Amino acid sequence: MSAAPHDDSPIIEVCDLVAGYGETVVLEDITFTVARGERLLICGGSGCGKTTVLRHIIGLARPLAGSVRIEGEDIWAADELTRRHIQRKFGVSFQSGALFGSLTLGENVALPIAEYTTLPATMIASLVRMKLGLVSLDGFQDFMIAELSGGMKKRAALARAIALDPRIVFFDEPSAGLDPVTSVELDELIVQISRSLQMTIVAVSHELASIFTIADRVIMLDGKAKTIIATGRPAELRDTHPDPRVHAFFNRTPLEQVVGQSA
Amino acid sequence: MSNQPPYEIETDGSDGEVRVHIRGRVDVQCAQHFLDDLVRAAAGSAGDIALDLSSVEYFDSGGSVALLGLQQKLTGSGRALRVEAATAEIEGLLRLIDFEALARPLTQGEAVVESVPERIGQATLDMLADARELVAFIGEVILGLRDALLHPAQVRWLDTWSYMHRTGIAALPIVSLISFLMGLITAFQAAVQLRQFGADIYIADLVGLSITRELGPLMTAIIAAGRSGAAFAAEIGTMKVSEEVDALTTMGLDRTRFLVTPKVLALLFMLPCLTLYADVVGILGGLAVASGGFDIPIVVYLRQTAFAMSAWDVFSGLLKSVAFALLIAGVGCLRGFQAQTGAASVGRITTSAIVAGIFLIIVTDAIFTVLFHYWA
Repeated sequence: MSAAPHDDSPIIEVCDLVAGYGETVVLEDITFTVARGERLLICGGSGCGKTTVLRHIIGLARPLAGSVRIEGEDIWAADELTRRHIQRKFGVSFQSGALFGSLTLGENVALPIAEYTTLPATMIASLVRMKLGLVSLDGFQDFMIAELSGGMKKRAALARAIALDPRIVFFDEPSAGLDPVTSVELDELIVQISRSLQMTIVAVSHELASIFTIADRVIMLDGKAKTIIATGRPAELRDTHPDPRVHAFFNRTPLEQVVGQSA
Repeated sequence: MSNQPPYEIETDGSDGEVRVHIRGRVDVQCAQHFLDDLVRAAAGSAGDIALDLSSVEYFDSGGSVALLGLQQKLTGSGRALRVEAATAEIEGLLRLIDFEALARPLTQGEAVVESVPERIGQATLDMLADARELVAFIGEVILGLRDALLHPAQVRWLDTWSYMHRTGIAALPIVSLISFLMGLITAFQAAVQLRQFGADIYIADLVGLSITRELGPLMTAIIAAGRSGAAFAAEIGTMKVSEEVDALTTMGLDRTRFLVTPKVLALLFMLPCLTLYADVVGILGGLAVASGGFDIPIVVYLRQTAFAMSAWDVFSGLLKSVAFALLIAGVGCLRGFQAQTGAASVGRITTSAIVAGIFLIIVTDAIFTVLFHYWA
């Protein structure tokens, strides 16, 4: 909806990013772009730095070097105020939901709407209802967060992330910790919403099922190589990629075995 | 938001059906404005409304919510709303929204309104239940201490040592400052009165007795309630929220031995030490005023202090501090275990640990004072 159809410039550009904490470099030489409306998935084994990359893109951790541009604006070159302005262009759904426990579900979704618009309370209430309806949680407005199940929390986090119709939504492990049925339902909901609302999705996950459901394109990181080792459509990476690490990941085989065969 | 909306509305058609053409951008910021304009456009006739959204550049859930509002208004007067033409994106967006479900009123949970007597009764019952829980928990703590005496090898001494450092040594600066000032203030207040009778030397008696019997133990206990009681509650509360307490339980381990006994032991040992230290520093505060402001020689002041006080004065203060330590640590740990879920709950129980701690300290102090009065 938000993207002008004729605009072909990438919505996110990550250039020569070096990610790390303090002196420790976790990842380097990270360069990729995300097209408008694309669903990109960042994957890799546990501890490879997926979440770290995400934190650098959404402005939670400052990169050691390199730049992150969102709609052409460098999020890390900007001052605090501009950065907050850029951050309003996207929603983030955190791994454990990060919903505010002191508020009800309805208040959680209403918070960004009430803070960033001048709409009257009745309008906000029906917007909240609409958003909750999208994730099948209409009617649970008055529930406290602690009363929701794991799957409901994930959906609630999605509803809050899309509260202001952002152009981009970031997901950290969208379906981690959910049962397979709930997990696939959530993945399909993400795809459906992103298609209908023309949202760009950047998700971090290591769950193969999610990768194949959500992603148009996958970037695979490797903890030992400390950088991107593969980029492409999920099926391509699974079937034809020559790198044994990629092959092992996408076919769920132990790495030693694959390396042994190829050596 | 500027006064000029980023969209344009045009209406045509006869009374049978009104066609509304919309151009431009409809976003969440102007949703209310957009709804008002639509309602005004619809008010021009009594027929159904057909919307033409095919020349809209941008349309988000703000627009959808306005359409929902318009639909509800029209349905109320028996009219219909239909989207005649729209871009593919808008169609996708509208298809996601279940307008029928949203039109149904929300089933509100029955709000329970309690009358004033009901609320007073409930609060009283809650308070009694809490008092009962506190007594039971203090009993649990004392049983834990008995176990620690019977099986000293099972006590987690490393934890205890670290809590002793945190509750005792780390509290020295603030205890020094407060008790020195308490001694100083008491001496000044006493001097003003005593001077009228030429009885300056009795500053030593007054400071010595009030500090060792009352102010030393009391101020130290209040500081400990604010520092250590709160820390115990927050620590155990956070562990409770993150299911660490449950993990201990399912491992078959005793929460009292692991979490409570080290804290109680540490405070039981450190609070009397701190109190003794506060007594000394408080008397020094009095001494500073007496020798600096009222020309009483240091030796004379100290001899007068020693003459005025008995060992019982100091000992009774220490006895009280032992009881305070048990209550502060007990109520701190109890509140921690009472944490429910979430960050706000940890904040609440921490506040409650301090308030309840100070309340219990004062009440216990009053009981001790009366007891000692009739005993001595």
